[in-house]
Amino acid sequence: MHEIRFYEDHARITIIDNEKRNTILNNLLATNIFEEVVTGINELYVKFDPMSFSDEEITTIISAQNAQLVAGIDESKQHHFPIDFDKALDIDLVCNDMDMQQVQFQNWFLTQKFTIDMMGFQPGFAYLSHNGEAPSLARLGSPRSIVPAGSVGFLGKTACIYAHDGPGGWPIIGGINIPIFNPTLNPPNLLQSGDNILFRPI
Amino acid sequence: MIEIINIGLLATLQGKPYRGSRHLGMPYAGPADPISMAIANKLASNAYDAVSIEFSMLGGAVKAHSDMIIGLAGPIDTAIIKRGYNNLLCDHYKNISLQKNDVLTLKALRTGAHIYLSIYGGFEATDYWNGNSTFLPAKIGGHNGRALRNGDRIFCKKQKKIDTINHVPKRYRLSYGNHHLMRICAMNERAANFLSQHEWYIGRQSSRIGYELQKPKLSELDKRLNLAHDGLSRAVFAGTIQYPPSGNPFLLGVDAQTTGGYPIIGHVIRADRHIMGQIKSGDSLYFILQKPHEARGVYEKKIKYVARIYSRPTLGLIG
Repeated sequence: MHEIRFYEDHARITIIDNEKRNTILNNLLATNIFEEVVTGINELYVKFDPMSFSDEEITTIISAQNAQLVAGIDESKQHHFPIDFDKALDIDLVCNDMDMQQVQFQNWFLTQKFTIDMMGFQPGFAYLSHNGEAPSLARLGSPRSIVPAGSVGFLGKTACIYAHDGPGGWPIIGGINIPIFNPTLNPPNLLQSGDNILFRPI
Repeated sequence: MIEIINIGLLATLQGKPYRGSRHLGMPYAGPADPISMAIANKLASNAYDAVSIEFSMLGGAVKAHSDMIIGLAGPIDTAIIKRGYNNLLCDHYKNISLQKNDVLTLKALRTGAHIYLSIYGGFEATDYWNGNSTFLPAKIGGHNGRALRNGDRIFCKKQKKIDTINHVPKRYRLSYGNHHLMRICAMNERAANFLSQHEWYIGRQSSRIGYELQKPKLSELDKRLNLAHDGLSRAVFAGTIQYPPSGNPFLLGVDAQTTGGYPIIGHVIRADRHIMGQIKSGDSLYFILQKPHEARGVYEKKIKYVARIYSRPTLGLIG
C-alpha cells in the first residue's frame, strides 16, 4: 500500500488507495508522534524530529496504520454551496478551454459532485476534484495580486475555494458568500479533507 | 505596559508557532529567527517562546509605561534609552532595566533582518489553536491578528521586579552578515548542481513568506534544468526550495503556504532554517550540499548549542 521516501526530517508516503488517505491521516495524527501530517493527492507527508525517531521507527509506525484502516470512521460531510457566477472573472477563458458556451459550462459545473482532496496553501483553502470529463487547464499567466475570499477557482479536473483575500493564479469561475474560515470558531475550518460539495445557483 | 512609538518597517508580536496544523492549511508562522528570539527571552528570564516584539529591517522605538526588565537580540547597531534629558547607550547583550517614561530606540545594523524585544513575563497576545504568533495572511494571533501600529499599547503578563543579571557571553553572540551560507539537501543530482554551483542573490520578493533567489545571468545549465513534474500540489515546509517557470528558485519562509504546485528541488536543512530569518533583499547566498544523515548530525550539534542557552534542549525551537 505504501511507498515511503525519506528526506531529512520528513517523509512522503504514497497512498495507492486515495479513499483511505483521510483515514490514514487521522490515524497518523492520533499517534501524536509527528510534528505535521499533510495530505496530497495519493500521498501523505509526515514531518518528524530526527533526533527522536529513526527512519526505521517511522516506517514501523506508518506500516502499523495498515492494520487500523478498517477501524477508520468516515466523518466526511456534504455541503451545498450557492455559487454566484456573476463573480466569474475568467469565465471566457475557461469556456474557451472547455470548448463550451457559458450557460453550458455552468450547467455542467452544477452537476458535478466535488470532493475535497486536501486543505492547504492557506488556512481554510480547499482543493477539490470531481469525476466528470474535463481537460486540464492552465493557471493564469500572471497570478492576481488579490483574489477575493470565497472565489472558486477551476483548472478542469480540479477546483479550489479561496478562504482569504490574497494572491492567486487559478482562473475564477464564480464565488460563494459563505465564509469557509472563521478564526472565532473551533474548528475555524468549515471544510475538511474528504468532504463533498455540491454547488447550486445563487 | 509598553507603547509602540515607531514600528520601523514592520513590527509584529511573535511567540508560539502553530505546530501540527498544516493539514488544515495553517503554517508554523512564529518568529522568523527563533534562536534570536530565544536569546532575547533568555535575557528577560522567560521561556524561549514567550511573546516578543519582532521588528523587521529598520529597528523601532518603544516607551515604557512602568518599570520593566527587557531583553534584546538580533542585528542591533545601537540601543539608546532617552531618560529625561539624558540619552543612555545600552549594552544590549545584557538584560536592560527600563524605568517608567523611558523611550528605547533600536537602530538596526545594515545586515540581518529581524530584531527581538522580549519583556520579563512576556507580552500578552491572542491565543489561537496551539499558538499565539501573528499570522498576517489569516489575521490571527499576536495583537488582534494585525501588525503593530505606532501608538499601540501592549500589555505584559506580569510585572515583577527581578534582580538577576543575564548576559550573552561573547562566544554565543550571533553575527549577522550580508553573505550567507546555508546547508541544503537537494532532490536529485541535477538540482544539486544547479543550486550549489552558483552564488545566489535575494530578490525583491523577500518577506516572511519566502525569498526569491536570483542570479545575474541565467546560464546554459539553468536552461537544462527541465524537471519532470506532474503539476500536482504537494506539501511544502519552511525551507523548501521551489523551482517556478521563471527559473528563479523560491525559498519558502515561516509564513509560507502549506502546499505548492511548483517542482521542489531541495530544502534547507533543519539546523539552518533559523538563518532564513536574517536574510533580506540584496544579500548573497551560497548553498552547501549535505546528505540527509549528515544534516541530522548537524542538527544534533545545533540542538546542543541551543541547550547551552536553555538548560533543557528545546526540541522544536528550530525545525
